[in-house]
Amino acid sequence: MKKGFGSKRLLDQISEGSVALTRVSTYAFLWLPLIMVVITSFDSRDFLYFPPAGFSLKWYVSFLNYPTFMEGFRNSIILTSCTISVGLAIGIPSSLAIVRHQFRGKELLNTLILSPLIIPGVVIGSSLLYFFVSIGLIQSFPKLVIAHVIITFPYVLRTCSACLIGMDRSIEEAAMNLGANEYQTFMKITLPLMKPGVIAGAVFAFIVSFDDVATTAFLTDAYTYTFPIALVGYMRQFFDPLIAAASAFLILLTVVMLLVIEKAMGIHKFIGLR
Amino acid sequence: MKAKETFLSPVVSVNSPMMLNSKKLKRFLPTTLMLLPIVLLITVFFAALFSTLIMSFWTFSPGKPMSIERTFTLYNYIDFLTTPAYIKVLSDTMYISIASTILGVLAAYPIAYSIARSESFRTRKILLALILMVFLMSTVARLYAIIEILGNYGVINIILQQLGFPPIHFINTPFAVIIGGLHWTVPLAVLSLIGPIQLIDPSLGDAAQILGANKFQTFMKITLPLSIPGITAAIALCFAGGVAMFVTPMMLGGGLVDMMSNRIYYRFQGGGGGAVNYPAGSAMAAILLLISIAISYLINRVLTRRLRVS
Repeated sequence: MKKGFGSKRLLDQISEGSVALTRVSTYAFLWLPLIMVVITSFDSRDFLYFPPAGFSLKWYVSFLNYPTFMEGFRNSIILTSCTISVGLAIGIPSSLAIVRHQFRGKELLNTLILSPLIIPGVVIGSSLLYFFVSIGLIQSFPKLVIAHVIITFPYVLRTCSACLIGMDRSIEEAAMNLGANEYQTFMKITLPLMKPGVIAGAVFAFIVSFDDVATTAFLTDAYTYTFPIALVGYMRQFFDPLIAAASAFLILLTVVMLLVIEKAMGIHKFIGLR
Repeated sequence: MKAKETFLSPVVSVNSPMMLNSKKLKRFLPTTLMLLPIVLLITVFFAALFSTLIMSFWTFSPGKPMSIERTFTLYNYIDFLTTPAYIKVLSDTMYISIASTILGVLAAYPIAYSIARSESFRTRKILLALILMVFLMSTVARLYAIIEILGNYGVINIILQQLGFPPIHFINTPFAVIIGGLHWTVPLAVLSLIGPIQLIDPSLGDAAQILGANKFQTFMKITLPLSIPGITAAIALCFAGGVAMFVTPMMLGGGLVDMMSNRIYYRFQGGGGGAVNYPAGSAMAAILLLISIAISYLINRVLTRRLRVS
C-alpha cells in the first residue's frame, strides 16, 4: 500500500514536471523572439547580429525619417479611423436590430455577417478586386474602406451584441416612465451602457484593420498603401535593424492597445471570460 | 460559424428573450432602416464572392479585355487539379495548416489549463495578458522576430557557428512557415480553451484522485474528455486561420514554400513566374474557399453531435 502511494507521487511529479517544462518553453517560444526584436532595435551596428554591440537610437531615427513608412503609417491611421467610424455607425444600429427586434431571416443574416471570419483574406481581396473593377470603382481609398469594414464588421457586431444581451432593460423602461422620449433614452441610457462593447469593437477593428495584408494587398496602388504593406515591401528587399525599430514600435502599439482594453473593460471581459 | 463564438464574446444568442415590447422605439428606429447599411454591405460582399465563382468558369484568353472571354469552361479547375506543381501547393497548404493547428493546440492546452485553474486573480491576469498580447501582435513584427531567431544570420545560427557547427537553413522551408503559424495558433488556441476548461468542475478530478487515480489517469479519464468541445473549437479556429495564411509563407517561405493564398495573389497581381490570369486565380480562390468552409462545417457538425450525445 505504502509503495503504491509512493509510486503514485513519483508519477505525478514526473508528469507535472514535464507539463511545467512544456509550459515554460511555450511561453519562451512566444516571447523570446519579441524581446530579441526590442533588444536589436537599439543596436549600434549597421547590420543584424547578436549579441548587440552598443546602444544607439539611430534605427529609430531612420525609421521616423523613412518617407515610405511615414506615408504608410499616415494612410493606415486614416484608413483605420474611417473603418472604425463606418463600422460603428453601421454596427450599433444593426446590433440593436438583431438583438432586440424580431424579423424573418435573422439567423441567416447573422451567419452571413459573421462569414468573413472563416473566409480567407486573399479570397475576400481578390473577389473585391474584380468586383470593384467591374462596377467602375477605381480609387483605392474607398475600396480599402469597404474591404476593411467587411473584414472588421463581425468583431464590431459581436462585441456590441454581447453588451446589449447582458443589458438590464429596466433602466431604459424607468427612463421612459419618467418621461424621456425614445431619442433621449437611447442617447442617455442605451448608448452609455453599450460603451464597453463599442470600445472593444473599436479596438478589435483597429487591430484587424491596422494589421491586414492579405485583403489589402489586392486593393492598394502605388500611392495608396498601408503601413504593413510598406513594411512587407521593405522586408522583401532589405533586412536590417530598421525593421527591428518598426517592429518594436508595433510591439509598443500592442501594449498600448492592451492597456486601453484593460482600462475600458478588463482583459477578462474582452475575451469573454468570467 | 458556431465554432467562432468561443472566445470572441460571451455566449451570443441572437434570439435573446429580452425582445423589445415598446412599439414606440420601433417607430423611432424601424428595423429595416437599422439593417439597411449592413444588408447593403453584405450584398456587396456576396456579389463579389459570387462574381469570383462565375469567373472561375470563364476562359482565359490574352488579347481580350482583362484577358477574359466569357465562355464556359472547366479548364481552370482541371488544370489546377492535374498540374503537379499546384497539387504540391495544395498539399503544402494542408500539411502546414494541419501541423500548426495540432502542434498549436497541444502546446496551448497546458497553458490554458494553468490559467483556467490558477488560484490567484493577479497571476491569472498577468498570464492572460502575456498570451493576449502575442495574439494581438502585428504579423509583421512577429515574422521579423522569427526571422531574427531562425534566419541564416539569426540567433540560432550565430550560436551554432560559435560552437563550430555548420549553419542550418531554416528559412524558406515548410518548417519555418509552421513555426510562424504556431506563433499565432498557440495564443489563439489558449484563448479559446480557457473558457471551456473553466467550465469543468474541479471536484470531479479531486474525486478521481481520492479514489486512487494518479494525475495522468485523472487527466486522461476526466479532464481531457470533458474539454473535447473546447479543443474542437480551438482546432476549427486555428485551421481556418492556418489555411488562409498569406504573409507568413510569403516572408518565411520566400517564394520556395507557397501556400494557396500566395499562388492566388500571383494570379491576380503578378509575380511568382506566372502570367496574370483572373479565371485561374478565381478557380484557386474557389478551391481555397471550399476547403475552409468544408472544414469549419465538418468540425461544427462533429462538435454539435458530440454535444447532443453527452
